[in-house]
Amino acid sequence: MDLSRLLLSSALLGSRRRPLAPPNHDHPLAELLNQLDYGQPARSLLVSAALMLIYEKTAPTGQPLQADQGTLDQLLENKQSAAILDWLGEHPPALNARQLSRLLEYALQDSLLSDRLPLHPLNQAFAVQQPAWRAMLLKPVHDDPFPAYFALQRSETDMTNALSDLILREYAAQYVSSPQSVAEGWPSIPIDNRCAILEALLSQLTEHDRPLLELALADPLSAPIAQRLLALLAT
Amino acid sequence: MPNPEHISNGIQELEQWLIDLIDHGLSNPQLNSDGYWQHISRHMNDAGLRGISYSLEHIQRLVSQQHENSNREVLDRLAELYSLVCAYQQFEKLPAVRQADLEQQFGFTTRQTDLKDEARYRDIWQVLDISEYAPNYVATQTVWLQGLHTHLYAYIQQSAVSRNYADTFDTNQCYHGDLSYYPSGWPLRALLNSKQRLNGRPVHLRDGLSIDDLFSLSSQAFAVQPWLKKFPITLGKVQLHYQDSQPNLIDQAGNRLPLVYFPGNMRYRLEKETIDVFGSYDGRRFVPLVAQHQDRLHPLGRK
Repeated sequence: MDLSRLLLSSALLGSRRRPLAPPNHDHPLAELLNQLDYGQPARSLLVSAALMLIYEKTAPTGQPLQADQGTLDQLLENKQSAAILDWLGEHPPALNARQLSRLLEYALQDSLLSDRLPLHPLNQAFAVQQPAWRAMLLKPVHDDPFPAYFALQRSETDMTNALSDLILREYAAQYVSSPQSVAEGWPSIPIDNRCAILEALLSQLTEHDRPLLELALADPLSAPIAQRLLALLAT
Repeated sequence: MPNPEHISNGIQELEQWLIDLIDHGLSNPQLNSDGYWQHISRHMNDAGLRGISYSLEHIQRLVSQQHENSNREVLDRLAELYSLVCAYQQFEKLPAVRQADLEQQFGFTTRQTDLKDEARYRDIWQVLDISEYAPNYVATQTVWLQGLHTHLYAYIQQSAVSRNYADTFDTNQCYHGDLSYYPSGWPLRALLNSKQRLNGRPVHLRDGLSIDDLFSLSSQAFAVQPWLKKFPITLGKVQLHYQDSQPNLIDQAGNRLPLVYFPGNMRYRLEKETIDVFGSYDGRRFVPLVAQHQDRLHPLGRK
C-alpha cells in the first residue's frame, strides 16, 4: 500500500485504533518520516500528512523536479522529530541556487533576443510574483532611470553578466523609490556595481542625483566617474 | 491584531482538537454533527482566528459532501491546519514574509495604511474573473486582475454586509491604477489605488503556458508559500476533452490536466476547440475561471 493510502487508512480508522507505522519502502519521504516520534500517533500522522501535502505540491509529477530539489533536500536532510516545524522556520522564502540558475537561463535567452528583461513568458510568470525579483519590473511607477545601462551590457551575455543585470536593475528600482537607502548602503555595494550605477545615471542626470554623486566622491574607485558626472551636472 | 493571549489559547485548543479528531478517526460519526464543528469554529472566531474558523467551516462542508475524494481532502486540510499550529509555535523564528502569510491564514487584518511603503505597480489592470462567497449576510468578493504591461497577477478581496463593497469592479473591464501587494512569500492579494475605469478596452488572456509550466511554476510558489491555495495561471492553446464524463484540458505537448468541473453549457461550445484558459491551481486541482476562444471570453467560474 502506498504512503498516501496508509495515511488515509490510519486517519479514517483513527490513530489510536490504527497507528501509523514508520514507512518501510522507497518513498522519497521515507527517510524523513522514519525520524518522527511514533509514540504520539495523532501528531505523527498529522505531521506526516502535512509533509506529504507539501511534498506532493512541490513535486507534482511524483518525481522530484530538478527545480524543487532544494526544497526536497531540506525536507530530507532534516532529522528532527518535529520536521515540519523546522522546515517552516528554516526554509528561506527565496530562490535556491537551482531556481536562480533557471531564472538566469531564461534571462540570458531574453538578453540575447531583446533589449529588455524579462520577456520570456515563463520567466515573466515566475519572476513577477517573487518579491526579490519584482524590482526587475518596477518601471510602471517611474520611468526607467537607466535606459543606457542595457545598451552598455548588450555585448556581454554570459551568466555572470545576466546576474549582474538583474542585481543592478534591483538597485536601480531601489534608487528610484528611495535614493536615501541606496546612498546609505553605498559602501556595501560591490565596487563594479557602484561604477555601473553611476555610469547608468549619465543618460538622465538631475540635481536629484547630487547627494549620491557626492557620496561616491569619497570612494577612490568610483570618484573619477562621480567627478565627471558632477561636472556634467554643473554645466 | 487580536489579543495575543487569546490567540495562544485558541491555537492550543485547536491543536488538542486536531489530535483528538485524528485519534478517533475521520469515520467517527461525531463528525457528521453540526455542533461538533460549530463549537470549535466559534471558539476560533472568539480567539480572533477568523481564517481558521472559515477553514473549519470549509472542512465541515467537505465532510458533508461525502464524495469520492472528500476524505483525502479533509485529511489535507486538517494537516494544513496542524502545519499552521506548528508554524505559530515558532512564530518568532519565522522569516518576516512567512509570518505575514501565517497572519493572513489566521485572518488577521492588515490595515491599508500598512501597505503605504510597499512597491506600487502602475498599470492597466484587466479583470479576469469575479467570484463571490456569501454564506451569510457578510459576502466576500474575489476579483482576479492581470496587469497588461507588468504581466502581474493579483487578486482583490473585500467583504461587506449586503454586498455593499467599498470598491466596485466589473467583469471584462480594464482599470488604470496603482497596485500594492500585501506582504507574502508569493504575493497575490493586493489593493488597487487611484483606480480609473477604461471603458471599451478589450480584455484578453495572455501569457498562455503549458501544463508542464503550471506544475513547474506552481511547485516553486508552494515551496515559498506552503499555504497558497490559489496559484493563478493562463494555460495556452489547450483543448477540452471529456473522458468518462471527466473534463480534462490537453495541451499541445499532449499533457492532460483533469478539471474540477466545466460548466455544461460551455462544453458544447468549446469542446475540442483550441482555447486559452485562466484558472487557479491549489496543488491538486485546477479550477477553470475563464476561457478565451477566437478572442471571445467565456466565464467558467462558479459564482
